[in-house]
Amino acid sequence: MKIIIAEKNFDGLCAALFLSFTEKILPDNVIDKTVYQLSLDSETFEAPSLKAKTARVASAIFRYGGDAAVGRLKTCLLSSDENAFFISFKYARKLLESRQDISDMLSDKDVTLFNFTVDKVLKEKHRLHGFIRFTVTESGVLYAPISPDNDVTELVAPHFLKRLGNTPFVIHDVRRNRYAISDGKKLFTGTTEKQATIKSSEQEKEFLYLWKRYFKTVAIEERKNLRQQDSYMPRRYRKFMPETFE
Amino acid sequence: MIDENRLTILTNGAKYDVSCSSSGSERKNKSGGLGNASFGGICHSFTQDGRCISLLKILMSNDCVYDCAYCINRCGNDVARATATPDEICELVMEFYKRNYIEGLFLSSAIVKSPDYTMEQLYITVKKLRKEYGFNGYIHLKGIPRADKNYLEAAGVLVDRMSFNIELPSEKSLKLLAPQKSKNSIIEPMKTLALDKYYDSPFKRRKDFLPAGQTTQMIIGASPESDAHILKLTEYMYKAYKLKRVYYSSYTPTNFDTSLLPYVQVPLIREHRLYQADWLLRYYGFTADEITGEDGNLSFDYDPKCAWALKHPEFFPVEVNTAPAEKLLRVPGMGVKSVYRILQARKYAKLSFDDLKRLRVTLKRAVYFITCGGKFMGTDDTVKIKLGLLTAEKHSGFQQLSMFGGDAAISALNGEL
Repeated sequence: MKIIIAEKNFDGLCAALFLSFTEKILPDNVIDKTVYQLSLDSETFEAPSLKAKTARVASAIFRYGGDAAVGRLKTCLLSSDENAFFISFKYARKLLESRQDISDMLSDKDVTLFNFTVDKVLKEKHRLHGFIRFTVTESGVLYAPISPDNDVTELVAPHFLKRLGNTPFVIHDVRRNRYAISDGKKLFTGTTEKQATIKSSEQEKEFLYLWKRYFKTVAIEERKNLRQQDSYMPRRYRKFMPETFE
Repeated sequence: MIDENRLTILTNGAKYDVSCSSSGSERKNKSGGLGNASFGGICHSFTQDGRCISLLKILMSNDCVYDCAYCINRCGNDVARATATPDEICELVMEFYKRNYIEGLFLSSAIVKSPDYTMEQLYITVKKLRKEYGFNGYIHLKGIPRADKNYLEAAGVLVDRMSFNIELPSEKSLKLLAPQKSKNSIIEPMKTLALDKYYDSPFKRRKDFLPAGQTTQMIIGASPESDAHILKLTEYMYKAYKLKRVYYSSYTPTNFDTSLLPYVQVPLIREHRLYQADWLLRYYGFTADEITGEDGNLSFDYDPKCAWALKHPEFFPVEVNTAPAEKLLRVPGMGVKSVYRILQARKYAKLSFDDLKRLRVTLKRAVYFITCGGKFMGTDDTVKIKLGLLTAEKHSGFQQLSMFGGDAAISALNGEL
């Protein structure tokens, strides 16, 4: 088993591709440097992210696949699917080999698998655009805790920057300790071990109460359909959606 | 701030309105303001009846002077009445929106005092919301029949979507059940909103006037019209008034003191079938005449496409590798996405059944109607096909409301019963 080990991000992917092409390694897997377990028979190759090398690969990906390919590869790398890194690698390698956009080459297994993996992440991003709940804090900053399946904090945040205008906000992935902060003009993303302590504004309780009341009232009792509710709004998202609390 | 009681009353009055869609508009955030609109629409929550909450659906007032037989808010009903002020509604929208509870506002009202007065109040509210409160999110405004025409023009530049409810599928039923409304009072404003001057090109609306277009809604099952009649009307309205959507609302009895209305709720499956048929009209190239059965109604047992396919064996099987898109779209179980994937994939290689599975094309219905490279995996036995389609229907999660229940219908077919 030949295995390439790299950082699981776009630079790391480019590094893995560079190594694969220059050393003529066709790996059986590409795995994340930070979390991995190797089987006994594995032969590993480490691919360090060196700017000079990764930039060459990145520009080639851009040349053949454009912004869309770069964006979709980055998106795929955010997936929590354990094979996401290898799936991205295979797609990118195929793109570089065929020297043309392959996004609609749906007869190819690697392409469809890549597309479905990307779609899954994008679906969660879309869901979170709706399911995120902000608390208005004493200082007027909006705070929203999330705990998504995929690492989508930085994918989700730009939507709210566009939408909320000058209002500063924080989106906090409490499982991965990731955050996206907006000061009303720009976004900053990063990782922190710190826990947020939130003091909500005076009005918070009242509007939350009205919202819960609204949520209950707008449902038509005679047409109860919990199964449909569950499929559209999976329970794992509800821990931060106060209207669903009993 | 609006109090809990009035919010409950005004929500209760608005909840039977079906439309909650927030799509079709790309309104941008203006500096200093709050919000924008997302073209595809966003659902923010799902209630216990499985419907989405996208917009804050609320009545300005439920204090109605009209007496429509089917309506919970009619003046003859002894229900609690409430009215909200424009500022109370604006505040609620801003605060809910900020917390990402909602995508925008769906504002409607009972007829208070007169149509003109009501429309004026609605207009004042949306104008305040846009100009004073700086709200750039989605607004769907319900139009009031018989109100002055000038309000259309004035409100159209402020909101994203407007809708006049056609209420019932025929003029006769309208006269009987909603005597104060008339066909013309509803149709005329719809015609106005479809005028060429509001369009950049035949199907592209101007960005500064109702970018998300207009819709309508009708109640199903309160009056005796057949599905064929309803679908014909739907088809006509899509063409004549360039509607974005026609919504159907299953009649739910709320008033029991009249003999004009049925006492039972219309089975939800009827509404479900109508929506399926509506989709076929809009995206699959079907006409209303093709879809409805001989008795003028849609089948409860099969979805409208399956029912059509069973009646037209001469059309099948369709060869996946060569058939044009229009033909593939008529195969039961194949949606627009599946057809798109097939068209893309077959440019590069000949497709087999395994390839279709890999492309996540659902085969449980389609298998009886397609060939892959000449290979047929279905059966010639009509009884078996029907049984297979019924099983697929059962697993699609929609509760069958037939007399015996879905299980009995299947066991009747396979001989158990």
